[in-house]
Amino acid sequence: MTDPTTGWAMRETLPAIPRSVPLVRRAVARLAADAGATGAALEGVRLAVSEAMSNVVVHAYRDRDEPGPVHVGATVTGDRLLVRICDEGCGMGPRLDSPGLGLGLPLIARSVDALDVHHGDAGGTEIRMAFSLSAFSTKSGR
Amino acid sequence: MNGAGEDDVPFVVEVADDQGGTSVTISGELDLSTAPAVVATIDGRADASGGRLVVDLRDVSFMDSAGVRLLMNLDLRARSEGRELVIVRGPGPVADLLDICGIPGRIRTVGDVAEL
Repeated sequence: MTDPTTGWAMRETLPAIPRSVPLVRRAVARLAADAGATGAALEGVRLAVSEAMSNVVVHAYRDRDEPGPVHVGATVTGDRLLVRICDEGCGMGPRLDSPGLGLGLPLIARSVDALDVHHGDAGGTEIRMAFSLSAFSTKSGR
Repeated sequence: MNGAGEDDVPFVVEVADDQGGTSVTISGELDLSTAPAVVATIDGRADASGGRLVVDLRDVSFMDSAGVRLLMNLDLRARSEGRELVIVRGPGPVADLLDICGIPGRIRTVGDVAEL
């Protein structure tokens, strides 16, 4: 299947380790800032990307000894920032031993304009997020 | 990918004991990659002077749910030791996140050290 991120401004594959979380968050935030995002819109991008990346690091490869890859794509089209984060892990599911508080997805949901989570082509989880880069049309975070 | 940038403030955790208890001052971005360092730094000072535990977030430039989880864990731990956790939250997105997650209803949260 065609890679949906072909031609996107940012396409990276990193190991699903904690250190990758700030790297991706800063890179995507820089893309958003360069496109004019400020204030609550920019903070929403930072938070949602951080949560999505953390989900991959914490959950995707918990059945393996070594962490696998996380594929990140981001691009700006018009007034929208599109971000795609996917892994090749065991897929998202209920987890009784989750180390988190279940805050990640709700925090993502309140930061984005559109959110799509599904099984990816690579067998893991794919999350697609769309953000409005205009502060006026983005949720203020409250 | 170069993760460095003007927002790449070095992550620093400072712990100080005073007559009122222990103060933990965090600077930089608090996320999955840095939260363990906070626990490790506090554990390294396991002398647990007693009194309250103050976590100062005023110089935290970014925080996500890993920081919220850290605060919840520190609160549970402080309670088990008979101590009170107090968060100094400062202004901005970090304070907004605490509000969104309902932290002020669970952990005593002040806007500045003057309110301690």
